[in-house]
Amino acid sequence: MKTNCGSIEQYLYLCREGELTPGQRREVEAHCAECPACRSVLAGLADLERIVGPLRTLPAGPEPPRTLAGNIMAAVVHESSARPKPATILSGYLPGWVRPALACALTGLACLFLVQEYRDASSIAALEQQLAAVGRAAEQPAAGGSIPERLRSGLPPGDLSAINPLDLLRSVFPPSYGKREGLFDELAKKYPDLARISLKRKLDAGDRKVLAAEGQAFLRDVQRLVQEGDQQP
Amino acid sequence: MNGKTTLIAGLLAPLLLLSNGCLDEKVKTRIFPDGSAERIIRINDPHPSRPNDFLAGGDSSWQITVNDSDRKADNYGYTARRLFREPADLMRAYDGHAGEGEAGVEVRLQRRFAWFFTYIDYRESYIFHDPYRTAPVSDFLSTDELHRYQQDEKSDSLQLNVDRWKAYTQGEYIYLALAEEIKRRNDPALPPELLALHRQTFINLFTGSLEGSGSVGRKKPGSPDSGTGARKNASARPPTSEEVEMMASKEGADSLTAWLRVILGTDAVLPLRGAIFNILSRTMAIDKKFLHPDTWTYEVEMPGLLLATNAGKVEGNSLTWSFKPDQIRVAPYVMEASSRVTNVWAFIVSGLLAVAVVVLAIRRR
Repeated sequence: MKTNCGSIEQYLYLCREGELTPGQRREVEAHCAECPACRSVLAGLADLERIVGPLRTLPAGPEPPRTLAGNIMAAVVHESSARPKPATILSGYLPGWVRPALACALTGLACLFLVQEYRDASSIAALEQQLAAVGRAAEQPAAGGSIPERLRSGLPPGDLSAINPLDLLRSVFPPSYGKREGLFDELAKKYPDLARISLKRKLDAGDRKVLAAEGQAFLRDVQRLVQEGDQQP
Repeated sequence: MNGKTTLIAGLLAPLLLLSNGCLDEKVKTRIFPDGSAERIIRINDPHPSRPNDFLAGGDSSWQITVNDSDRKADNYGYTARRLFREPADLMRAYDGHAGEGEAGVEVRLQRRFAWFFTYIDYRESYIFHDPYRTAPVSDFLSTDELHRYQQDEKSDSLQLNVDRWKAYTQGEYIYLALAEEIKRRNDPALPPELLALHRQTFINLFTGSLEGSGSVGRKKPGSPDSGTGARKNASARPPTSEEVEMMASKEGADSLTAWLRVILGTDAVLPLRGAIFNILSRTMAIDKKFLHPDTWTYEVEMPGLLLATNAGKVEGNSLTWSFKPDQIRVAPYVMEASSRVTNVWAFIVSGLLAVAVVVLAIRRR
């Protein structure tokens, strides 16, 4: 019966005296007679047995200490931790607190940058508004003169008593404000002393004082209203 | 009496208008990111009588050049230039110190380091001490009006109120000096109470010429100017040397003495003629002490990105303020600006830090 190496291998390592049945031993010997590879393995095992075999006959020594296994494992762990790890650019040399410290610093800088940008953007927006207002005020005279100038130019020469103040104001305001109900009443309420001045009589010192005190504020209000009107579509 | 009032008002009113001719002072300041600054002051008069009064570097730390030959040249006149290496140098040179009746200038230039940006804050204030200190300007202009006047709002009524204040303070100063003199003389024929009874009339002598021009903003079409405008025209013309001499001359003192004689109804004022002359001379000296140009033009070039300013004109980083003496007379005139300079190195360092944090985070995993 021809046997293959795979089926005979399991018997090769047990091929010591008393380990195999006589049939199994014959089968191994028959295969090895024909297979040089397995014969070589069997010869190697025979050599090993020749060396180790006498040791089995020696008398048993003292029992190993109970802590031997634990000591060996501790030594293995120690050896493993003591062995230097492969070095990297940063992690091999930085203390442990550096990583969180760097993260905190970076977060702080990011917050600082955001706060600065927000605050400065607000300042710039306010400055742009301010400059735009200055620009509008500077352009106003070019667009037909200021309100006082338009009012002055609207005054006819001679006797002022025939002037209807509302008609005069309407002549210098955008048409949209002529239709706005209550506008002049509101202005009259806001500037009661100014409203009491009559164009039908000569201005006295009191009138001039009122004009100086309330006139400019009134004209600024009117100017603002006109600007709002100009900006309407 | 009206005729005399007009005569005296005509003689004394120019006291309010003392000027040094059409003198313009231009101050250009370049502020650098490191806080150093260069200042160039140019006066369109090659030989100003008292350069220090214009804060234009009368000492050796300033580099002075004078061009008195070519009137059409840009650098015609007196030019002073100085480099301030540190903000503190500039602040030391302009520490706001001023004598009585003189204008003082205070500069504050600060660099604030804030990692990504360095903030530059500039503030320059003209501090003028009212030479007479008899009546606060707040009696004549509200806070809002003061602000608008300083912002160069073109308003006849505002200018009129300022003129009234100036006339009033000067008139009251002369009145108080005269009252003190009368009290000192202790003349039974001229008791101090007699002058006190006519206090308002006396002060009206100075303000009266302004009251008649109070028709704010009223002008007939085609007329050259309103009453207030005429007043402004008068302000625009500096008094001649003869007029200035006239104000504190014997004739000026004679006119005021004669007017007082009529108002108070006693000849006891006649011996006061010499004292009146001295008071008028002293008043004129006070006004002369404040030597100023007709206009100031301040140009400041800020570094970096402009964040805020109260300048009237902004072109890029160049800021310009233009103002006249009256605008610093009513209250301190403040010029302010802030800008920020980007610290490129701070961005680089922060970027490297970010990379390090990312690398560490990856290695940990």
